[in-house]
Amino acid sequence: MRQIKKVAVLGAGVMGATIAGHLANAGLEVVLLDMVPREPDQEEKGKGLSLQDKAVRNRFAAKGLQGAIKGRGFYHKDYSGQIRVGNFEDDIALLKECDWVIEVVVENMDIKKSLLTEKVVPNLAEDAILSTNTSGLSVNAMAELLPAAVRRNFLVTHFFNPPRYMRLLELVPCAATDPAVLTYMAEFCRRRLGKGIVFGKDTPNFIGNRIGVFAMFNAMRHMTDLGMTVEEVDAVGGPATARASSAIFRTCDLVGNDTLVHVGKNTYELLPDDEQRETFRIPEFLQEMVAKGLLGNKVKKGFFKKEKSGISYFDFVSGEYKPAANPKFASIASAKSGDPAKRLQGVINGDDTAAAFAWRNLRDILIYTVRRMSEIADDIVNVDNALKWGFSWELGPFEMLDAIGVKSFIARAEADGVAVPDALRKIESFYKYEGDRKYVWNLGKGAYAELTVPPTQISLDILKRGGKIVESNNDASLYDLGDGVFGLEFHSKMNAIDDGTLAMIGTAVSRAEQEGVGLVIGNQGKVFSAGANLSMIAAAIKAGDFDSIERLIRTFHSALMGVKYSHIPVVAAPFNMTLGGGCEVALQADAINAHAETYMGLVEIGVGLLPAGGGTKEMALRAIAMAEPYRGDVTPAIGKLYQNIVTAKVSGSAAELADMGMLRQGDSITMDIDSLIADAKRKVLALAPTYRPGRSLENLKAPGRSVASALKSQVWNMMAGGFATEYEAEMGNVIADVITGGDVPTGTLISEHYLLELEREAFLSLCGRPKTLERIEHMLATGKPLRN
Amino acid sequence: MLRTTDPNRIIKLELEDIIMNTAYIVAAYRTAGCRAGKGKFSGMRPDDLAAAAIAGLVERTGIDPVLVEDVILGCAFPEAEQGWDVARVAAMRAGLPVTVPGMTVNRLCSSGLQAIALAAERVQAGLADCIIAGGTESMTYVPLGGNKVTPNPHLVNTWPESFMGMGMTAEVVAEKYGITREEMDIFAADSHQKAAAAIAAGRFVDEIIPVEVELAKLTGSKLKKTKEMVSIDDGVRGETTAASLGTLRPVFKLNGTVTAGNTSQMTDGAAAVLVASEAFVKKLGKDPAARFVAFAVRGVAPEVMGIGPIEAIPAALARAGLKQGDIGLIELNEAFAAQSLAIVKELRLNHEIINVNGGGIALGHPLGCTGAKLTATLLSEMGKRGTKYGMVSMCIGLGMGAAGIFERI
Repeated sequence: MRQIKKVAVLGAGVMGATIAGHLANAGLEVVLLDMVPREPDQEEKGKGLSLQDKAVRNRFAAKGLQGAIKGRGFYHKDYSGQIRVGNFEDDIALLKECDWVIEVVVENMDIKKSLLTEKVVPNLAEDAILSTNTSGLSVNAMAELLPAAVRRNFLVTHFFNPPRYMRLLELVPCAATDPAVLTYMAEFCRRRLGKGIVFGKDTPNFIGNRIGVFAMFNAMRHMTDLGMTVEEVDAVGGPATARASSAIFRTCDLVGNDTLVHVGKNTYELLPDDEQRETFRIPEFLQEMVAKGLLGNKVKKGFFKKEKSGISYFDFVSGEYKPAANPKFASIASAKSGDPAKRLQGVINGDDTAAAFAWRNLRDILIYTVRRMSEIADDIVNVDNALKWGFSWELGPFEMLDAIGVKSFIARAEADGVAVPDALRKIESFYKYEGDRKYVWNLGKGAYAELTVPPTQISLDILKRGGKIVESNNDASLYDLGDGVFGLEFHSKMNAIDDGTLAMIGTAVSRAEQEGVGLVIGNQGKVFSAGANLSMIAAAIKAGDFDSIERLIRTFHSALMGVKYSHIPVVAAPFNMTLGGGCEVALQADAINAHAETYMGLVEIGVGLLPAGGGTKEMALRAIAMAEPYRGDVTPAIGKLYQNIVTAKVSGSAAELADMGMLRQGDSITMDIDSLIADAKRKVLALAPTYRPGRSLENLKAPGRSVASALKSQVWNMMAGGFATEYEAEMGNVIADVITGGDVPTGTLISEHYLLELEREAFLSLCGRPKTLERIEHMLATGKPLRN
Repeated sequence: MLRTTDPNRIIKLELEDIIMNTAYIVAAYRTAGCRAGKGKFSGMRPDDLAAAAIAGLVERTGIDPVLVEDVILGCAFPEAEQGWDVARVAAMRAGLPVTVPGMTVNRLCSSGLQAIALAAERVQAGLADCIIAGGTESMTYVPLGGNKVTPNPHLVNTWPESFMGMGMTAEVVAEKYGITREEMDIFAADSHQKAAAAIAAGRFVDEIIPVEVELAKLTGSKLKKTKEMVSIDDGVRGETTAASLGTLRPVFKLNGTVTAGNTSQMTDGAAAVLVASEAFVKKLGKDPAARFVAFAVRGVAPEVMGIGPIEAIPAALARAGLKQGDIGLIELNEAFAAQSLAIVKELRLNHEIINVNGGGIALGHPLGCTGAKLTATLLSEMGKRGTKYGMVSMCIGLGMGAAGIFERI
């Protein structure tokens, strides 16, 4: 079987270097090569280096790598060590060891030709895969440059910037690409790189940029027609119409206006027969902006400019910046649903300028997309995915058509006097469900086809439609994931942990114990869990109802001790935000199978509290467990884990969790978000046959007062230095006493249950302090921590 | 008998009249000071380093080691590789006869000077004729604060300033004495430039005992072990300017003034000093480097520990019956530029005679070794300049200061 172990990336510009970074994230060995500079630069000359020195010869690749490190391209700081930098002259023979070679040099056929024919082909290993990241050149034209044996292993792998975070990867075969190679690469890039795979055709800008860039240029046209400002357009062109939070013009600033102009011009040149060709003609104001160097975020000024005095926007009429006016529209204000389809419907049915813009812009985008179908993609799923994964739209164009209703879309467009493609008239909706089967309309065939979930993935939505929910309340549901594995899904707002959640945890454990082999805790919402429900706690504090807070903590403890000491394996599948109480749930599972992009931490101090769902207890136990077998000193371990709590440290990736004592040996990381629940299920099934239940720990040697004094001295010094407030130091003292096992002499024997009691008492004590309530209320009101 | 109102003076005169013998510093040597964790001694144990200094001292003075009555070494964090009474371990490792005992003393950053003072006091009391004193510290093996930092719980709860971080105390001193960031950076850059010039001029060659270190480097799967003689302080950066230091960010206090650049370096080093009686020196037939004149140590508030010398220096001068103007050369340990400048300002010390070859900011501050290391540097420079009286002084953690005075013979 083909196995990709080592990859060469040719070209160490921003894309090449960050692609290399992401390949290293996936655990691959990477060779990153670029040209040899013409001569040493000033700095190198100053060091007495010449063109003979490696440092000079590898400069481009080395600088690219440094850029990828600085740009947070790596999951873990050590991963950059998997990349070997070099140059096309001295190191090209390394290609012989590579299973995959990606060409990411400048979009110039002559340069690509000489690189491919003179350097790559002679050094390519037999049967190695060769791909290009081009989006501006024809893949078939490039294939012409290659020998037939290479052509069958040649394709486009078009990554989006930044490759670590942007899920879209467009794969485009040339005429000679072996279908098996395409299938292999799709599966490899999905599973190992976590990319969302979309198959494109050999057409300019493929799918994502073709539609996404059309949407931007079309927005500019309607903006001028309707006399709107860029700020007004962004108010409506983002989440209000189920698109990216960076909307239209902040996306331009992100991409870079020069890049946008380049893509627009390229499209205009390469698509003489496109009926919307004129849309891609660069507006005058945009040309002027580029001429003036207003390129976007990379120069800190574009359509928007952020300064100390505040944010200002570019007024394309006067050519000057004006202070942001934060425009409000009734159509948007009245459409604030969590469901993007409802939001979009609400906005286009409004009767203000924003509504008019939303409709006109979407109308044109959707018609343009329908007309492109046979040209750019095999089916609508590829198109919807391209826009969702590459442009962060919440709904793809065809999902938007379904949200609007195809019939009413046609009627309204025709009322505008806009011609509608006939293909649309036959359709009720592009997607439909029958029980747990999902069907998608194939425009070419004029019929529905079933859309199946790949065997490596699980869709909770499909299971739900198939009646696989076995228990449910307002906050959580329990699924039958098959093979005796239950799945606990949180679905409250931000998946905050509430009474309902805790009750369902208890139910989930007991049903899995009685009827199954194990339990997965995970969901397919936006975040794993943002933590405990703060508004409930705030209300109880204000009402002086400390009994209900105490009950909450007791319930928390019994639910999560139930998870930890159940007789079946429980695997948590955290992803994205996994904070506070959410983190505590994950920590007390038997194992974690996290998504690579997991931002997890015990952040309770930000709202004036301590982790009291077993989080502080768990950190104490882990520190003790690290030192105990070696009769070692618990102080450094507890010091570090304590510091994570008092600084509310959140991981920047799942890989960083190991350093935070939160990911243990045997825990695992999934790259493909859609495989997360299925991987966690597989982990349950792997653990189940040999599972040995544990029991609540006793006879633990408390680190005690002596170690607490070290922690307290540390927070006192942070306060003295102005890094922590007086109240933070006070809270730090409270937490220090809990994590060290109470105010006791070192070595006092304590138990896991006692640590939970300490957590509970400390939590209640903090709840009774006015500054904690201030912190909670500030967080609820602003979403930001208060440092009082 | 002369009586004054100064109690120090009364005691001094009485002691001198009755029993006081003269204690001589026959010779004082040090190893190079090398950067903790990164420098040439980062693979060298502090007991081995001390043994090298002791063996070097014995060889250079030509004494019969059987006559050594004690080895007293200062060490600020005497644990792990420098635990187990490192002075006795070093004596054994240096090949001194089994009859030579060892004692480790700890008064944090003044431990090295305290060791010399203890040795001298025994000689002055007529209870010993030949003692090796000195200090050793590897900040690579045992960091500041020790491997396990657990301050006293009662003090942390009731008097947290007791364990204020050293850097933060420097911030407090800077604020209290009006020392600016610019002054600190100029002082720090000056330290580097003076030290670089001194090294270039071979100014330290006489006082440094070269030490052989083993280096091991893995290249691919080939491990190469080499040996190297280390005789140069490796933390000095002659190119440092106040402007370049000005770009560093304060680390101890938000919007503070104390940076890694105007703070002493963490360093590994050892030093050894031969303290002897008049009778011993006569028999040895060599001119001693100096006479031990006086030593004083005082306490101050822990949050301003850096000003300890403001109390200790006048006390030592009083004991010596000297005036500040009598002192021709001073080694004032640069724990922080902030506290060094505060002392200079407060005591109106003569800037020209302080740390003429650079100080701890450039040459490093190996904690418990420093007092002995600075004594070696002071006596060497006094010899070159023909200075009569010299002084070593330093601030000490938990709020103390010490000063020792030497007279060139």
